[in-house]
Amino acid sequence: MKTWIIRTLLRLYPANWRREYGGELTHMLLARPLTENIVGDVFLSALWQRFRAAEISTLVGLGMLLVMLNGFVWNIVAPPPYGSEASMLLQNLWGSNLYVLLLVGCGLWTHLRRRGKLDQSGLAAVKISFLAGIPVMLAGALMLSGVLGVIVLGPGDIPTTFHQHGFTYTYYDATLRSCWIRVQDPAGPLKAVLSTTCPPAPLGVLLAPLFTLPASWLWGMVGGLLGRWIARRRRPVSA
Amino acid sequence: MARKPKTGPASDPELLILSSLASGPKHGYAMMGDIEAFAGVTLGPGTLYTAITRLVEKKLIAPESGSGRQRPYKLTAEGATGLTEQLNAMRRVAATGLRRLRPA
Repeated sequence: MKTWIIRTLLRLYPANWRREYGGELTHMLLARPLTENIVGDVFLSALWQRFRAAEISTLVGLGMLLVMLNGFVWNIVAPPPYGSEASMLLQNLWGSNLYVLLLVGCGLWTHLRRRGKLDQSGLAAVKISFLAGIPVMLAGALMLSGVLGVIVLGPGDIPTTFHQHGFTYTYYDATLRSCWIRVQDPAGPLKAVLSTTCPPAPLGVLLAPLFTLPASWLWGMVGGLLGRWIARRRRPVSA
Repeated sequence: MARKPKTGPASDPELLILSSLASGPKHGYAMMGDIEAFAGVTLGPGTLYTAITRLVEKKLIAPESGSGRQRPYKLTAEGATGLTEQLNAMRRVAATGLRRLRPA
């Protein structure tokens, strides 16, 4: 059991760190009783080493994932009213200038740090978008499986709470488009009616983050190009 | 055994490791025991190796040649200079603080 715990704890460390210090740490852990304090200490140390070894794109991507997840949870628990900054930014995050700046910034940073190929900057931006899109894909999967319902909120509509509607996502729609939706009337046959608002299609929600990846790659490349330009200006002119 | 400082520079793992290595090269386990004896601070293995990693990166300590699970570390010249400066600064602060605390 002790050996299994030590091996599991060691696996939490980055591979490079493990190669350098893993043997010594294992020896030390085997030589003394494995208390809760020691397990906690080693666990936190492993997280810290992971954090230090992580690429900036991974950290930014995980940060974005938490932001999106937080927005997703709050949307279900207590959706903000239509038009509030928080609701619109989280729903249209991919289209916001802030997000583009983040991707360009990450591409720039990656190029300056690694001085490698430009596509590394593009890949770093793709990684951020993919991580940030995980909560959206999760929402799509929950919608597909019928666990998560959707309520469309237009200008002036009052949001419903978790207490009133259960596990439901509030979708903010300013366009008030018309579309046909299928309605099951308990007393009659299945019929299609014209609705003024269209809820997002579950499959569309599930796949939407993937469609943002090419654009993210391009923004990352823009950042990389900017980084290359800065690096050239910094480089001393050789005689 | 020394009285255990709860916070402050005297419980900083990096300073404690440098002070421990001032008496000669030691491996991790020996460092832990030494620190516990002279400072009364029990460093967890994770904390110890986090500090060792940082000190190696800063080139203040270096692993001694030779492999094996019990790799000893030694203080580098840069590490010795840094430790001396840090301890002298602490001594100045401690002396001033104690002098001011003394009733006139």
